[in-house]
Amino acid sequence: MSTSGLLLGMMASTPASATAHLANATGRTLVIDNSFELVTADPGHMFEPTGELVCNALYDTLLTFNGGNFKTVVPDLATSYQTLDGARKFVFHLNPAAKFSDGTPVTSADVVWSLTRLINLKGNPSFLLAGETITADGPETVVMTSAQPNPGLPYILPNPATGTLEQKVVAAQGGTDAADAATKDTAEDWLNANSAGSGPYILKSFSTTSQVVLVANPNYWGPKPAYSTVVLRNTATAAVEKLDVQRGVNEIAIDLDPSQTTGMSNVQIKMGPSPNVMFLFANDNPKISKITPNHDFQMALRYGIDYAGMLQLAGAGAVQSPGVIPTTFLGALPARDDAKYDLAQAQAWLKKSGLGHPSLKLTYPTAITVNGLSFDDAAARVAQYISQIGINVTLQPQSVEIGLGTYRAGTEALGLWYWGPDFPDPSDYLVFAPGHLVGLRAGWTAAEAPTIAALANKAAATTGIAARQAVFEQYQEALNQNGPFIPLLQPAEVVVGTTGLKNLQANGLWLVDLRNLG
Amino acid sequence: MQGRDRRSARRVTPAGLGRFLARRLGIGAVLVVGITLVAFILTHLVPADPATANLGQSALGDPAIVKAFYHEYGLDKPVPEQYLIYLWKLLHGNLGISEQSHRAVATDLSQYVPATIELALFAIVVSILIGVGLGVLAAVRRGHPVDSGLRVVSLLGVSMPTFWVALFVFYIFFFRLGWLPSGGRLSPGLSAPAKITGLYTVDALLHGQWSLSVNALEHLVLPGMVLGIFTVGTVTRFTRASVLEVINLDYVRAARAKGLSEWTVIRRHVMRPALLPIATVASLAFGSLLSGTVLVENIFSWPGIGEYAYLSAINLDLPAIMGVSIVVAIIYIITNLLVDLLYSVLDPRIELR
Repeated sequence: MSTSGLLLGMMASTPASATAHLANATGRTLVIDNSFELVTADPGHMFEPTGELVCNALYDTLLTFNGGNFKTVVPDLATSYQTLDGARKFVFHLNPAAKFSDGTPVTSADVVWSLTRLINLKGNPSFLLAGETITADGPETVVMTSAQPNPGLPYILPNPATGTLEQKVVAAQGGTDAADAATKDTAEDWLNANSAGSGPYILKSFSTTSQVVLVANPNYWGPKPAYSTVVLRNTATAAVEKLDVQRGVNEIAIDLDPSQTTGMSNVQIKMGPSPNVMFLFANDNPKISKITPNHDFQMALRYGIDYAGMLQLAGAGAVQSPGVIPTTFLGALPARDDAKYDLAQAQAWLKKSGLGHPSLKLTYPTAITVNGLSFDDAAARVAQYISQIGINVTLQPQSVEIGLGTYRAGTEALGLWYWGPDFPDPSDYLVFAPGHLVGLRAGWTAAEAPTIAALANKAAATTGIAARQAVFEQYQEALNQNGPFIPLLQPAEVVVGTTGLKNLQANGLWLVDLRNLG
Repeated sequence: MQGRDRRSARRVTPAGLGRFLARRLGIGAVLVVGITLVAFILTHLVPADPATANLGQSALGDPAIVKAFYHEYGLDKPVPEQYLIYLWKLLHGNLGISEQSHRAVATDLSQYVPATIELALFAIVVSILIGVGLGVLAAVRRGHPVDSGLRVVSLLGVSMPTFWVALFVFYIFFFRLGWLPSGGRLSPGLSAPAKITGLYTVDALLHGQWSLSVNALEHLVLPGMVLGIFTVGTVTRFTRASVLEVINLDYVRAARAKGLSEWTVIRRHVMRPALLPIATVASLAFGSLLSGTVLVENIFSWPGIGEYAYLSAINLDLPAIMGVSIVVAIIYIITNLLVDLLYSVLDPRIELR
């Protein structure tokens, strides 16, 4: 058994937020305006952006991220962990200082119960720990094992869905981690009105359509949170958010796009690339299209997109995506690998394809935006560029409910979609490999590209930060050269706050990091 | 003969009223079942999958999770069986579990319907008071510049886009002047009063929480104003027309000839017959307010049934869509019933049959 033994940087007795400047609770109220994407406050069922914000404040996870740095995990409940047996086994050592909001110490039994419940609920986030077996080895040690190597596990565990619940409290409310939890667990209603965690806040009230109120956990084992009350307010209209934040005292707006921040005064505006990657694909399945599987045609598309024009459309803070992995994650390609716009080359590739001037439909979800960038606008821009190569493109917008059906069925010849990360690890992007989830949506089977399929398998099993960075770069280069995907851009994520807020930054995972906010 | 008919029509016996109510409620129940069928069929005609709308991309790749989702919401059964199961549960007062909120639809509706009722009641009461007043004024001053001005104003009221008006008043009264609060039913951090009716203004008063009631009332003003603008325009136009129909009839002139003041003539002899069409318009407007508040609720972050209906539709949340359809149908049925009863009170010649 080999031991990679990664000891986390800080063996602190407090979680990662200890590194941040936090004021003592002063009775201040923070208001966050957000267009709610919220279903539940039960971590075992939660997998929506607003839910992540809420659960991140209520529940501690074994590991977490500090601020917006998603390339390095830091301690939360676990002070350290070891990677063993080729990433098939992980051992986590809990911080003995950790305690729940009622003062009860957090034990390995609570962690095991919470994570097993997450798996057995078979809910939206259950896939995060698919294939993992979780056991306790003493009161302060948790062991996670899997048949297949899972080097991305430390980057999955900061997801608030893996938050630790106080077992005895939740079990008394109908919670169970049994194999039949999907039908027998009845704790969700209770967890939508109460919390049973060890995070800096506790739940005071919860509504999926109006507001969620959090109050400071008086027994929090880390530094006291900066605000005694946090009110998350459902504000469905960005224009209203913009006015709200400009009149607010301690207030944050997190749904504005770059153009909407123009002319705002007396606020701080933070923006950076979101982890959402918008991409174009040309279906590789000849049964779906006789045109799009042609490699030369795909290369024509790759060179025919004016990426600078796309970025101009997306606004300030957006960046071009060199590969399918976002620039802020481990494994991202360097900017030098960005695809380059070259109309002459694009036309040459189209000529080489022998397809003449083909006609195609570009399918995309209409009336939705990703970080404020409208798919309708992006599709129109893409169609404009493609038509300049000599390809006749007809826009085919579909409602997102219907479009998701055709996209997931793999029946779109030319599609414009985006991928938002399930967790900030490059292994989440193996879905683009031939024969995998998104690969198949583009009609790309493992049989068609066995070398890249093998490279994906190798990437899935590679351990060590440097080795993983190298293999995922190699994987994406192969995708760019031979795959049906054309990564376009990462739109900007924007957060606007009143000037008195400290450590405000956009967070691609849980929108705002309440633990670091001062 | 005519006088005898009027006298007999005036005597509505309790048994007659009971029969009328039983018949109307019976018809209403059939209507509700019909509406569930239409809503069920329409929802299933949408070529999209509820699992696709409710599960994440990776969760959809796990057959066990998809299977658990279908099983949990009964989607793994044939469609006709799903409908029959729904009806059977409905008979037992069970509206099912919402796929988006994971809660009982009845629980969701008990939270959202009172919010919309409070908003709609505020809007309709204010609209009727203003609209009837302006309509009477316009009729009395027919041809006068006041009449022309009010006609323009009422036309603007019915023609301005709700979305634009909402943003405009929000900008002026909240952002620029700071006279009224932003969205929501209460200011951030305030807790809702313990539920009695679900109407915050009323519940806070019943609990003696005066400042909370005032806060709730302040939050009603802007969305209520926006909702009411359209209704004010409509009521003004109908009131003006109704009053003009009777204002110069013989019995009104006779009342004037007796030396009654103009105000007394209007109050006693003009308004009563004019109220019939106004009641019709107001009842229709109230139904529209209850079922058509999506945009206003959206802009003012009002957690009502409109917002819930919108989210249900985009998530293909069948139990919630059905629940909203039933509630809206019941509201229309009850409103129509009340208006029919009101007709017989306003005009005894109208029989309840």
